[in-house]
Amino acid sequence: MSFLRSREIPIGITLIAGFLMLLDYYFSAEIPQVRAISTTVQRWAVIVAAFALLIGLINITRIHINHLLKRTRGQWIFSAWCLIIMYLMTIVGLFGTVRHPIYQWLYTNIFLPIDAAMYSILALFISSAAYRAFRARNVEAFLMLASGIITMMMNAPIGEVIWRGFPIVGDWIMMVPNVAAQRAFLICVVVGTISLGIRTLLGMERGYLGREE
Amino acid sequence: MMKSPSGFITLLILCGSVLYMIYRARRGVKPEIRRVPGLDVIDEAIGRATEMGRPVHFTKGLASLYSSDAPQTIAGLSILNYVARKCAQNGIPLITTIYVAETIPLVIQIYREAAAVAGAPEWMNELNIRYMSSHRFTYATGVQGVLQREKPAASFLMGYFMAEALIFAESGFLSGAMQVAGTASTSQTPFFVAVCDYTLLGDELFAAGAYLSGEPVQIASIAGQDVGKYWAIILLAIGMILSAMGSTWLINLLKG
Repeated sequence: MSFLRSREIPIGITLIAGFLMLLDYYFSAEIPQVRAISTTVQRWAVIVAAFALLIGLINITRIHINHLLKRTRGQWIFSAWCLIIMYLMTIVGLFGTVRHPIYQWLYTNIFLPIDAAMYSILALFISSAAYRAFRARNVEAFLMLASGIITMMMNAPIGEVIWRGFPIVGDWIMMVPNVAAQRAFLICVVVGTISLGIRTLLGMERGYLGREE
Repeated sequence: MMKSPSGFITLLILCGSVLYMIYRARRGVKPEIRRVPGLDVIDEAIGRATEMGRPVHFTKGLASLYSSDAPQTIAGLSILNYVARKCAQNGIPLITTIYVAETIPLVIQIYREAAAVAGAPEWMNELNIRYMSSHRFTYATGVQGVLQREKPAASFLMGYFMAEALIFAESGFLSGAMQVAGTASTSQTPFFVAVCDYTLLGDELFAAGAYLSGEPVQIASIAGQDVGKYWAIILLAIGMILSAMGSTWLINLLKG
């Protein structure tokens, strides 16, 4: 058992899978067998991830049954509702497929409206976040406020009526400073990703396995 | 014909520079890197939670372990490892909300190791590892509920996020949590910058695991990635000059 728990096994699997993907990306034309092996390994990953959903189901059940047993104030009623709906949809989906009328009714009349409501909350959060971010407390915040107003005016039909320059200045802000900053950001992200990849493949980055660095 | 030879050469240069810096560190040359305020402040945020007697919240975003955004999940888990150890040492609850089910075993392992290292097995509570859903806005609702009901004193948002990033950040702000965020998603970084107390920018998220370890050899790998940035700056400068002269030679070369 101690062999199975040794840290070298997950690091070894990471190393092999990582180099396999690299070989597949750069040399699949020269070594065609690599593509087949890589595709199989990627399929394994999808299957393992699908099984992990079962762990998720157990996790949710444990947490909400705990709330039910403890009668957690302000929570247990929602836990009961969560478990009823989750298992109802699971059972109907498993035995009647997702096209079953009950499943479809639950999805269309309960899930979709709640989902849309959650998405629409974003509009309120964007407003409150923008209010705090755009208060011109210093030069940077003032520049952000000015850029925000100009690009907003560029997109609003009334902007061009107020001043013809809004679309020109707004377009310049979007295409020059904005794109330049985004590219610099992306270059740093790519360099950071490669560096993390090297550390992971070499077994130096072990924090994600819960090990001592 | 090999795919993207220029990309492969760039990869080799980066690998070479990182390995060279690691070699130097192993020979005793201490690498110097700039401080990252967003990572230095993690201890302060956990200390705040300890003083207030309130829990800490952590989310590592939406990316799975096999998607193109998986490095952000790996980086997020490395930060979680550090945060879990600090929370276990201080004896405060750490609530981790999960979107990707396949990371649950990794998070459980991180909690177990943290409790074992801190010598506090009672700290390990699997009820604090909460899988919410693999649907984005259902997950967002769950996280929002945790932030509003349990009022964590600190909230860490580290990994890949999409539109729900602002829901997390604003809910955390409204619950009075000190927030530290990090993502490589260009569209969500501005929201984090606007709302959170500290934000890791660009490659800082990926450097977190090595940075927090404090180990010279690991920190050397961060110094090595700076060589990659110099390489990018050189290519940009040459590209600008050639483009101004009307040449597309470098663009064609890099596309190859």
